[in-house]
Amino acid sequence: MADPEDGRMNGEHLDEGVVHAWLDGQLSGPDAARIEAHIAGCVACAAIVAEARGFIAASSRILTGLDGVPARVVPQSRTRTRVWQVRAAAAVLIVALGAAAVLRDAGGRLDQIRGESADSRRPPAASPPPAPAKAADSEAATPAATPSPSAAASPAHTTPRSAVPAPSQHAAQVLQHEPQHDPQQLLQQKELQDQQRENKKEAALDDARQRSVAARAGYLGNQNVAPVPRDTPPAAPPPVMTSAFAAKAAPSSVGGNRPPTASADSTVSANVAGAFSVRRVASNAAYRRCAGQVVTVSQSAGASAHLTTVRLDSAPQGAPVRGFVVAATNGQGNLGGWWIPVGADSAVVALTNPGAAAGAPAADSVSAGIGGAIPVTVTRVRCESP
Amino acid sequence: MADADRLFHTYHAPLVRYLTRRLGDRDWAEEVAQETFLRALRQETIVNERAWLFAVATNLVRDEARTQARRRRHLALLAEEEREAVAEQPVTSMERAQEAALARRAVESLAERDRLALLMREEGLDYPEIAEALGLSAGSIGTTLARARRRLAETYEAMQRAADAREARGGTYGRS
Repeated sequence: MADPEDGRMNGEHLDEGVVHAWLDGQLSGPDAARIEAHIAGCVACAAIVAEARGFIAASSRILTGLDGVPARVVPQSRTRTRVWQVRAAAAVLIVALGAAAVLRDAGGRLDQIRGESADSRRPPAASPPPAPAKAADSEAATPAATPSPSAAASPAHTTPRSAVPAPSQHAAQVLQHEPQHDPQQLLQQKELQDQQRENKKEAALDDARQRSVAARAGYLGNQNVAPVPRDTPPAAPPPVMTSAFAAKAAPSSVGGNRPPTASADSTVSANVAGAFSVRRVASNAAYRRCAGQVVTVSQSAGASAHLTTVRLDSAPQGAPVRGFVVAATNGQGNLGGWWIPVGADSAVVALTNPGAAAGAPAADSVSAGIGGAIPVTVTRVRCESP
Repeated sequence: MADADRLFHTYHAPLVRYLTRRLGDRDWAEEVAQETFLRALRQETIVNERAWLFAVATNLVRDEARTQARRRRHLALLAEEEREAVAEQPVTSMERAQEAALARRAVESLAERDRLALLMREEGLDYPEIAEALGLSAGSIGTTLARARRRLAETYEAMQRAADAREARGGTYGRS
């Protein structure tokens, strides 16, 4: 290496940088020979070299300690989603309990209220308010149309429910507008509406979370996971992301890379179907260690159609996806990866690290996916006996 | 690029390891590596593949880091929680986790340029490749690495001594 650093001296002794370059084998033959000769006759420089060897070894050892890091320590927005979901669920629960108490009270005072109503001889309302069922429906549709955590968890949303009139007044309204209903029926209807509203909210707010759960369920054995229903719009719109990192920050960014607990001794296939917001290599499918350490990764039927039309996050318009990635890991870290071009609908990969010493831990997780691209592909990971 | 297979086979593992050490999160590292390879596939010509890949990966991390300062603080918080969670693990796991935490703190204490040069060198990049990836002169890499290694070793040792002292004090209090 012809370099100004070569042979640089610190006074009469070698510069520390030169020593490291020499120990790293980065000096040319003549320079290295000159340094070697110098060290042979200079005790101080020999000490510098010994110290440098120690630093090199120590730093390598320290850096090795960084390899056993946990996955997914980067905060995900799902945490925030959970928080507000809990809040929303709590709000719904409070409203349901309040409504139940009110209606129970209404049932108990029914006779008294009928008497009061008859005494008052009020004329019927000129323009009756809309039927409660309709009102409930419109309320239930709101969270699905606007799956905003703040909106769902805000007090404003719960106000119509929590601002229930005083028991006798409310019961009077019930009696006036729905005299044919039994209080018990009303209570049941109320609970049903609350339940429906909660279900819709849950479905619309974190569509991707459901997919992730479905995907994980698919890893656990020979079970076909049904595609996630597409009747609710995704929480985050994006068929095209501006960057993989932006996608990672989206609420649906949590992939299913956590290795499942089940292990496979024979053939295991995990079919993960449905629409995924794929944004990371490890989003689609994973596989737990199997006896053969041979895995076939294939795209299921129809996936290629997606792959040829999906645009990568920063690719030119119309550019096709060129393939997908398979990666193998274990607790010690990454063991290798394979790039599978589009067109090849499957690839067989051996889950052993060619460079690993005998007896080294085998891969315990394989994942495949396309990065930075959406929507969806279907990936099958099959473990075969050797 | 026509040889995407070869590129991926050759550089995926070292790049992910480099990024994992750099970021402290394997999934994040995988994601950055993936983005790096996708960019490589769109690149018409790459003269020095290894230097190019490491440079792009480094820049991707840097770009994101600029806008994710809050997330990094959260990361530190979660890492702390992780360490606390590890306290319930068997002793060997705890020791390993403590060593990893010390290593992480020691590495983080290095200047950015020193840290990156050191991590790249550990992945086998030669001095010209490191210089190209980091935009430095090749002549300065030896000095950079010497400084980085010395500081890393000394910082780690100091932290370890401090941790041992804390542990000893805790043991004394516990017995009294």
